[in-house]
Amino acid sequence: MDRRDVLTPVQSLDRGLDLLRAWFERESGHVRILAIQSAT
Amino acid sequence: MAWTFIDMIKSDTLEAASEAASRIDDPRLLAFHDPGHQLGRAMARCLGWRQHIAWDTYFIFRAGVHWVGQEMPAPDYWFHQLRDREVWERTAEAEFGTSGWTQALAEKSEADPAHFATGADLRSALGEAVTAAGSGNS
Repeated sequence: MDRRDVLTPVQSLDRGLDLLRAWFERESGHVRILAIQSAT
Repeated sequence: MAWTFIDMIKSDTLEAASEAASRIDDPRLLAFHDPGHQLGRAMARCLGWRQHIAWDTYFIFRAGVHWVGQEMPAPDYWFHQLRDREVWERTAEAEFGTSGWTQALAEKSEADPAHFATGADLRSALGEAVTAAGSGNS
């Protein structure tokens, strides 16, 4: 199996933060954690 | 939880981000990649940092907080593992991603030391903050 087949999909924020904002609002009924890290 | 991987050193790539995100299998986790520092800068602005990019930084928001304006809301709790910079990134003579760059990076910070936590201290601080955020004690 190709290694990429088992990797978690990652959404790019390169075109802006709309995807993140959508998550933030979708989960607004819960405590939310937003973490930002280097992958390596 | 939104887990964002920001490209800060040469080895940071989309594939590295995907591999890192795959370490945790949890349907509540959403993974993002920030190659252009869009979120890093937004989080920095949120904290009032004028010259830095946020990374190794963690925001916690209570339930009911909404993102209504252009900028994301300020977090109820936050922590960082930073010794960071943005002006320096633009002016540093060392090549981006070299060991010299990485070493100098560790010397730069605009982040409040009172919010610094790492290792077990960070895990404990995050756990306590999530509990407090869930009980409305911000």
